[in-house]
Amino acid sequence: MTAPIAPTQGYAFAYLDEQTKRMIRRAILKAVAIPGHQVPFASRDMPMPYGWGTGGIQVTAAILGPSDVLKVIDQGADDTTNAVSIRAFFRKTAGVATTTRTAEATVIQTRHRIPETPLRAGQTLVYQVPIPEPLRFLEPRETETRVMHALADYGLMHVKLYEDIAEHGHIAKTYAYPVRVEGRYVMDPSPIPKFDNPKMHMSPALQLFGAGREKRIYALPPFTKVESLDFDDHPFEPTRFDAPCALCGATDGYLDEVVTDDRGGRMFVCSDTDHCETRREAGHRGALLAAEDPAGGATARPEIAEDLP
Amino acid sequence: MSPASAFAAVEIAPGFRDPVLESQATFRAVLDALAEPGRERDVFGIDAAPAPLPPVMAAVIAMLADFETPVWRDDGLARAEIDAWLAFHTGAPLVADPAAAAFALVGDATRMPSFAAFGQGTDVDPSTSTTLILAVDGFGAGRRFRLAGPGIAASRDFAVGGAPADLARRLGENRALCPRGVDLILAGPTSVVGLPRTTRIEEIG
Repeated sequence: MTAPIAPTQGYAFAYLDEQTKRMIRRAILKAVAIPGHQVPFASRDMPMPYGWGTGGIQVTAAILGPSDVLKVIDQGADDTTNAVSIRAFFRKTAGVATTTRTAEATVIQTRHRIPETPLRAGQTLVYQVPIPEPLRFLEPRETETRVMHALADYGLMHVKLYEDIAEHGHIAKTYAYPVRVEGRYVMDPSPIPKFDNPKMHMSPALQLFGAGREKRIYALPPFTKVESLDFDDHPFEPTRFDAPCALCGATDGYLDEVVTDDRGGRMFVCSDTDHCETRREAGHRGALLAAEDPAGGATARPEIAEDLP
Repeated sequence: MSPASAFAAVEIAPGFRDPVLESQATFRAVLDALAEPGRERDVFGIDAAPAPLPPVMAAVIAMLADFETPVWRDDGLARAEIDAWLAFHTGAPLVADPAAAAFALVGDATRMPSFAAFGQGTDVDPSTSTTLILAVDGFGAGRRFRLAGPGIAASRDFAVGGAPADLARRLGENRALCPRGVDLILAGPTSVVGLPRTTRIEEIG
């Protein structure tokens, strides 16, 4: 964990001006009051392109305070370009403490994963959302999808899932798997793998979703019922993996496939880098590490530079 | 009346000492309060706010309101010094029609209008409903309620003094409209409690 520093002079605290923060804060409060409902907001241009988390970064900027500890992950990893840049951005404009450890963070901004370490009360998970409308690819007109939500008319979504079963024998959606919130709104959980869907249900943490290009904010308060859509005879099943992580041996995490050579060699490793590194620090070793160094024990956690020049 | 005397007629009291960080702290308290209904969250009020505007209510409205959000206030709060304070610190338009308000300030919760008088939102966009900020005597004593719904693991008991006698009935009717309906922020002397439209409420004596 890095200690808080003085924010760089010349920026508003956490970059956004106060009127923008008020507007976003009002949208967040209404989103929390109506779980799963997409609240429109006047999304601003941010110093990064759409698709890089402009929605998540605006939500984070509106909630962040000097005593927060920020973690940012991109597909589970703390050390990817998007995660490093966003962490450095808030380090510069808000001076907040940052961490890569899930347990230490108070605010976690995420692109497309929920950490493996169970979240606790008092933590806030901010999702970057590309397309907030779960019905978008079934009905392209925003005017129509809004009425469908108003009427809780989700028959089309069930037809889509049924067609998957008719065509493939199972529901073929593996990410951005639609959920129903408190029996009312159907919600896009952002493109997290369906492996992560069960973690949203009755989570003690507050979950906020920001879509910058599409100008929508939605939320799940702690302890909210979140069901993945399914059928009685085709119940929802999270993704399962056949092999443990090659580095830490974990069998409880979501794994990324990594191609290791041009002869078909590949390995599966934890997508959540914090989970993997924490396990390796504790002495857990997967097949690859054990083969490379049969005598080795615990491995030290790599350092990540937090303050960019 | 000359401009100088008009200026002297209403002296405007200060708002937040540090608007950026105090707004953020107040927001997080209100966010946590609405995310976990019935749980008390501390707020540093604006003590300098003109009476009878309660300091915690002053902090919440100063954090939330601006030129985009019409504000309604009940008769007890519709005073020249308070109107001038709201106009100066928030720039919010003050409205007489509660249905047009984004935020409603209720100084005397025992005599407030029916929730139906306020903006209910629409089926397509229920987020346009009014958020009511109610002054209450305090939490921990008074009428006791059992709450359930989003933000509450099983059930949560809370007690509030100075709330309307028919609060449970009003909130029950409000919840029947869900996802339309108003949301409540109860402002005590040093803290807030949130009661969003989704919360199920039962009076337990």
